[in-house]
Amino acid sequence: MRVLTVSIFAMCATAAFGQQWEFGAVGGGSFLNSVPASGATAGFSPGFVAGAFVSQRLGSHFSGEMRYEFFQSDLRLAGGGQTATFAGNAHAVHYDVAYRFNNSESRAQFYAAVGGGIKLFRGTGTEEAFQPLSQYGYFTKTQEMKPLVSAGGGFTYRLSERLALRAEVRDFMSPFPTQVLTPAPGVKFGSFLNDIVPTVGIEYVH
Amino acid sequence: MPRPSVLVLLPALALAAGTCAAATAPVFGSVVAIGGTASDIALDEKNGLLYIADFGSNTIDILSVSDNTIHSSLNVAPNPGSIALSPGSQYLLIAHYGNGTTSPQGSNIVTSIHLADNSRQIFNLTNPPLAVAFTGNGQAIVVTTTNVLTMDPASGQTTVLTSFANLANTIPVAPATFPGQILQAALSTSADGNTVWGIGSANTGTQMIYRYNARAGSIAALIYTSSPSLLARVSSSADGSTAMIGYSLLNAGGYIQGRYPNVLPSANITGAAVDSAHNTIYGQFPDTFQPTGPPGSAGGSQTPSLLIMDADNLTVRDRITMPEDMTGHALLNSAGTMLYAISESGVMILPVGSLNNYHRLLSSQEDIFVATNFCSGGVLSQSLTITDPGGGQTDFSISAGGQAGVTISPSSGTTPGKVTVRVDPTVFSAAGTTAVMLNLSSGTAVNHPAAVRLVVNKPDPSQHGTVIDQPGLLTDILPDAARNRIYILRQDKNEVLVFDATSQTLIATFRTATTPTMMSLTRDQNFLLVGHDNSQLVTVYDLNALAEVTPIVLPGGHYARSIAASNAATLVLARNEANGTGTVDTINFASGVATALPSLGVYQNKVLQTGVLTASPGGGNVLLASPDGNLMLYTAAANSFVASRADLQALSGAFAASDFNTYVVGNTAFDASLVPTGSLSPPSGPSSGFVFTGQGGYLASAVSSSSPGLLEQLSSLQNGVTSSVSMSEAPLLPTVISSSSGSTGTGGTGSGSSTTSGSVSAMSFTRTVAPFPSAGTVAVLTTSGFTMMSASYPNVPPPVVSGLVSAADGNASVAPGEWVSIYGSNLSPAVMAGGQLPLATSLGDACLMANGAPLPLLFVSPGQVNAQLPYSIQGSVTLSVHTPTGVSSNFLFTVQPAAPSVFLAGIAGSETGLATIFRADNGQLVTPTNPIHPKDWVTIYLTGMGPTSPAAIEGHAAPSSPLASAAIQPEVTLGGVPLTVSYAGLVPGEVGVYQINAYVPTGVPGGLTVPLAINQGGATTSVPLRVVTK
Repeated sequence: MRVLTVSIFAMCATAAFGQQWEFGAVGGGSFLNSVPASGATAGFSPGFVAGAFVSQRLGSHFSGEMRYEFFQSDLRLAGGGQTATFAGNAHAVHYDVAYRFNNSESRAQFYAAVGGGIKLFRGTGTEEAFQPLSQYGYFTKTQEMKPLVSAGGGFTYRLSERLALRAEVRDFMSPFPTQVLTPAPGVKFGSFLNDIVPTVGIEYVH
Repeated sequence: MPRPSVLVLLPALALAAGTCAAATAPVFGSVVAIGGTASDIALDEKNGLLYIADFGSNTIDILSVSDNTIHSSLNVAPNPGSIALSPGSQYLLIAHYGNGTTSPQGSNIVTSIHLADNSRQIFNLTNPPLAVAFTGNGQAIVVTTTNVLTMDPASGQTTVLTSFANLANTIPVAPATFPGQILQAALSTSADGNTVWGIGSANTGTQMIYRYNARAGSIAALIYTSSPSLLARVSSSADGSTAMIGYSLLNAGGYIQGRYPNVLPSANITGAAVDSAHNTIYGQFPDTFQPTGPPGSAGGSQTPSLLIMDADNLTVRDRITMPEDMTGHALLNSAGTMLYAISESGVMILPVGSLNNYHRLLSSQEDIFVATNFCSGGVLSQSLTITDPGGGQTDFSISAGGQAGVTISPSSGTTPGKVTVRVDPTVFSAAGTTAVMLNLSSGTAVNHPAAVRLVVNKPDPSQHGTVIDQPGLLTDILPDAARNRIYILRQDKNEVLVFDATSQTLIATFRTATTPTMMSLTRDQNFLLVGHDNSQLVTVYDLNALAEVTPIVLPGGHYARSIAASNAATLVLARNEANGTGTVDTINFASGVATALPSLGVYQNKVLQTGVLTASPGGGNVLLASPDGNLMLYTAAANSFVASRADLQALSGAFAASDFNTYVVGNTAFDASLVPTGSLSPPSGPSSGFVFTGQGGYLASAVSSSSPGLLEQLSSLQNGVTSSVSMSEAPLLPTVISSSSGSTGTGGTGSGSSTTSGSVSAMSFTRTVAPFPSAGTVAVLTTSGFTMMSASYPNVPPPVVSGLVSAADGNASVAPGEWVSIYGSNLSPAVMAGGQLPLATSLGDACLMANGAPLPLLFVSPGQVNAQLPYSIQGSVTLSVHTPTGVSSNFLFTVQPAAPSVFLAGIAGSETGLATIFRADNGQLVTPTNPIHPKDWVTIYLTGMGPTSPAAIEGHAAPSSPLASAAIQPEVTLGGVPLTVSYAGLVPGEVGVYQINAYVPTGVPGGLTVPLAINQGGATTSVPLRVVTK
């Protein structure tokens, strides 16, 4: 969590050098893919996402954005008609560059964004001596940090001079956290996770 | 003698001047002599007074319960026979008995004393009043020789509740006749004031029992015929649901819930008081241990004893020596701490709430069982702890009565005391079991401690079976193959013992009513029925829930001796006390009652009460066998008795019915028409038990109870015996049945019941064999308890040992005290698991010796034996296996000082063979899904850690205080990082199982297979574990 805190401060410091600022919050769903696991699948259950961002206009079309998201989604194994889950969540911090397709005076603005950061996966469930589907993998009460690539797009719609709505879809791509959901001996997990995250939010323009 | 206690001694000192000490032996309680003859007592707790009616002196003595001294007396009209206090102690009502033939004599009056001002009113009655009581609403109940009345104590106004004649003796009577013998009536009110129980015509054998419901204003009555007769003593339970009347426990349902067993007739000795709050009944009933008459009379040399019994089934918990016999009304104070009872001299005061302040003795166990085998022929020893239940220091002596070969050390001491009983088997005769009673005594104890039974089993190599010691009077056995259980009736404690048939461990105990006789399973096998010789109930137990359900009530005067369930009806052979015969009843499960069959087909429903019933396995037939040689056959198809014959003069012992229209009784086989077809002729003596398996079966017999037993297998009754096996000890054998009536005749073994036929004593029937075909075992009730036999003992070669490894992980390195698995062939003739501690050194007829020392055994089978190595052996060791077929060649192996081996016996879901290492965090096994984390405490269970300090004894449970720590301290590492060990030693209560408690520091490496290594004096073992570093 110390890494996360430092990152948030760094994000705010960077944003302070901009000329026009936007502050906002987003919420939505988190839909991760499952990776193959030697005949089963390993991954995360769909969950919810909540986050905040600070954006700085860097010209008429570009802006830089520091974001934080909290993901609530349980770890999940499925195979042979069975499903096993384990409580879990994740935190992500990343910096994205957005390109706005419309000029800055337009009420509705479409944009595309790409960036990178880190994602901290956490297993928070209760460990048991016996876990269903343990022949494929082990749920673990621990945490693991992975690099993150973010890509996506959306649009903003200005409600007033200072207030705008935002809707977007992003794909958070990261390596699979094998410390939190560990493949059993002889089992290979797919290596990459895609977390498709549609959100809506509101932002304040300063 | 009470221990020096101020509370106890003060009243005792005060009593010294005015009371008499009736005995010099240690006694409990004291006596206040009244100088007359007490007829009734009434306790005024509000004012701390006990009123004592003196029948002959025409006074009411007033005793202060603070100092147990009579301070004053009230002169009243002649012959005060019964007294009662109204609620709030407002009125004292006195019934005066005036039924005389000569002058002077009393009048038929009731005196009402208003205690606030001592004003008196005298109310004349038409008939002599016998007993009085008050209900909770202040209304008096008066029993006269002709009716039962209600009376207003202020006005004397009476109302007749009901009319029936109560007998009473006309005065003058013969000398030495107590008031209770004259009046023959008594009443008792429940503590809630809603119920009054009573008895009239007491001591006649045909008594009238009343139960008055004060709220409904109704009275119910029943005629209760009994032998011996009931004396005029009544004590109600707090809510009136039951009452102790004479020696019988009556239920509000109108039936006999229990009767004190084996009561002897007495003209005046009986008394009881119910303490509902403590589920206890205090009382005295004459039996072979009690006086039946005054000192000098027959039985008068016995010591009067206060019986402390369970309130539901009269199981005796303890017997306390009293200064005198109870001869009348007994009552408790509301706290249940003081018992007041009319006694020979006046009133006896028994501080039952302070019993723990008096010296008593109790043995830690009922039995000591020692058995020799081929491996242990030397002196055997077992320890026994003698305590005072009150926690005090009480002197004791224990003696084997001069039995040769038995030494007890120390033979006397002070509680709590541990004595060691040593048995030299060479002194005892071979091939059988000898029981020796070890008698406890004390110069200060007020109780009669039960003797400890020492059972010495000394089979020779040709005898088979594992004997499971079970104390008590065992009277019946039933197999439950579907649930793999054995049901055994323990009559002296009123229990059904439920054993697991594989491990022979006790898994449940059912409380029964009084004096259980025989059992039966219902046809659907879901319920167990138990008959009782001293209860009108057949108790019923749900075998799936292991719980008692609603019992069956038999007709009045019927006591179930034997039960059999057929496809058409469930029959009960009941002792019919009304006519002294046996009657066959049929159970209606829907209504919960049984009714007598009008006839047994064309035969009268009048059989010997000592007969037995048994159903064929398929439920098609029921055989009724009587000791006089009579046999009757009931068929479910006809739902009636269809045949009756008496070809033999007498029958006893085994009894069984098959599904193939064949029967066995005693040593004789019978055909479908009950015609004798041949003799089974067991060569070893009388039959003990027979059970059909198909057309054949198993027959148990023995010459005597101390001889070896014989278990024979028959393929059919025609083909005779196909195999014959000598048993480690004798099965229970038929016994001579005592001649008596009423509540007697259940003291024998087996399903013993009682009768005499002319001058020839009958022998009891016995059921002792319970087969488990799928397991290939047979349980047999035997002298010490029961014996597990293998169904067959084929001729096999001598045992051969091929290997020995740690039982924990299969490692070849072993240490002293370690659990080991021995592999080979013919290691045991049977598959058997042990479990009773200390562990036996002979199991399933196999025993093992290592350097001459016998090994405690946990499991034996032909291919594998699990045993514990002695703590005393090290270095090169020679192992041999002994079975009835011979001795193995010596197997050589080496015992290291230490050889830690973690048990690979953990189970998590479908995963087995896991290392028994537990996380303290969640108490679960360490597995890949429950990995070790830094800062965890873990507990490792293992064996092979060698000697301990203090030294442990192989086969015995490890001590808890002090703990037996490993003499060689282990070092534990996880991934090479040392763990902090807080304890390493034996697990308290376990045999040969050690535990290590260790702390996991931060810095341990993570991984799926991080080695947890244990190094003990250079011996190491390692198990891979998953470790998570965050």
